[in-house]
This record gives sequence, C-alpha cells and structure tokens, in this order.
Amino acid sequence: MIGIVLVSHGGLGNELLSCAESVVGKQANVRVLGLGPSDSPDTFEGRVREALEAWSGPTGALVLSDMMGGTPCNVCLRLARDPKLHFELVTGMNLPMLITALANRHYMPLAQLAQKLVDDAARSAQRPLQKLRDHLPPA
Amino acid sequence: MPLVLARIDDRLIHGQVVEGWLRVIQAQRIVVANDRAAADPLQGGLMRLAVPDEVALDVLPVDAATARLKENPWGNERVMVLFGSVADLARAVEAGAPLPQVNLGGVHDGPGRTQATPHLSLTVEEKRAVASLLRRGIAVDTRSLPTADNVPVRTLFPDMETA
Repeated sequence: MIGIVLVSHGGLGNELLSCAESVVGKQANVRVLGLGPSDSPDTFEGRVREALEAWSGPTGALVLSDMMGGTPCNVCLRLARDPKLHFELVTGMNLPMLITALANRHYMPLAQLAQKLVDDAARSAQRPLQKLRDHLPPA
Repeated sequence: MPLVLARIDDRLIHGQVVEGWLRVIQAQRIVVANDRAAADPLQGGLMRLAVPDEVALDVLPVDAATARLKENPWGNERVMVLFGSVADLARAVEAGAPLPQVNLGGVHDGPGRTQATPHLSLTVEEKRAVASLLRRGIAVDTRSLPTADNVPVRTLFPDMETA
C-alpha cells in the first residue's frame, strides 16, 4: 500500500483526513503535517523528511499538498532532490482527491495514481447549476 | 436480481454511499425509493450528477419502487435500494417488497429521537418499526460504512422491544 502524507498550512490536512474517513472509513498509513505560524521551513522540512523516510521503499509515498507554491509544497520540492526518498507530489488537494487516493492506493502504482489524481481534479470543480438549468425556476 | 444492499439513509445519495458502499458491493444500479426526491426533478438531477456514469439510477416514489422490487425487472444486475426513512422501508416491506436484510445506515438526530451513535437516532415509532422487521426475520445491519462494526441494533436500542 502506498503511504500518504498530507502537507498543508495549519489544520487543513487533519480536517480533510477526518472528513475523508467519515466517507470511506478509518485509514492506516497516512501522515498529516501542518505548517504552523511559528514553524520555519527547515523545521517543517525535517518533519516531512522523517515521514517520507518511513516509506522510501519501492512502493513509495504520495504527498498531497494544499497549494502549488506554498511552503508545504516548496519544502517537498527541495526534498525531491534526495535520491533516497521515493515520492510523488500532487498539489491542490481536496476531499474527492484524497478519497480517490485512499481508494486506489492498494493496487495502483505510485506514478499512475498521481497522474489519475491530476486527471480527475478538473471534474471536482463543476458548475452543477449550469447542467441543471432546465430544472431551475427562471431567474 | 441480486439485491446487494437495501439501505435506510436520510441523506440518500451522498459520499458514504457513492464512495463507501458502491465500490465494495459493486452495485450496477441504485434505486432511490423516496416520494419527495421522485417529485423533484432538480433533486433527481443532482443525484444523477453524484453517481458515476456507469451506474444506472432510478428515483422513484416508494410505492413504485416497491412494485419494481416485487416484479424484479433487472435480470442479473446488482441493485442497491435506498430508502430515506425507517417508515418508508417499513411501508415497502408491508406491501411485500422482498428484503431479506436491511442496512440501517443513517438516521440522524433531531427532536424526539434517542441517539445511539452519531449516525443513528430513532424515534419511538421507528424503534417499534425496526423491532417489527426483526420479528419478520429481516436481518438489520447498523453499519454506516462497510468497514464499520456491525453493532447489533438491540444493543444500540435496548428498549426497542418494549418501545
């Protein structure tokens, strides 16, 4: 099973995992790391490194970060230069993305799973009212 | 028809059903048995958007769904039926819907209800109705999700038989 690490600002990752578990049940092999207001990038990097070292085998780890370009994401980009670590990074995590990751990580190879999350991401942002306009009262 | 799940859930189609159950029981069709949803094309349309394209969906009034369950027109399709309340399911059973087991998956808290778990709170009438299902030999499962523990409904609502 692919290990999952959620990296975010503040408590977003914890809350996201808690919501996902209410949908798909309690999960093993997930680490959540939140960047606090007083954490330096180096301190945070150390915590992410420690989490990734636990899953540095051939199966690897999937890191989901809250925002492209944010510190949690940037720290992971720095760690990607370390050949001892084996992980994929996907940015813009949200509830459907995490649920899909949890549901598919038992059998999908890491790179394929990471690509699936990116391919599926556009479908999580929709305008359902546009599709339903025939059923809505006139504006 | 293999009826793979008959569930009572006041949220009808939502995350736990689509992400939690659908995959595990591999249902090919969902039948929503609910008068209000069947009368509201907007709600029906929203449900269609929430269900994967490859899964068929019928949103029917309870009586029509009951008739459909009795005539069983689905061949070998794996079917999940969802009821919005204990009363609706009890009505279907009363009218002859063949349900050997029932998943009491989500009846949420409100006035006049006794809460046993975060997802199960029953009124006195509902406890009576569930006790009556058990007397008919219908097995009642209390899991919100397939991975949850199936705590016996009599343990959750010990006063059920005398309610």
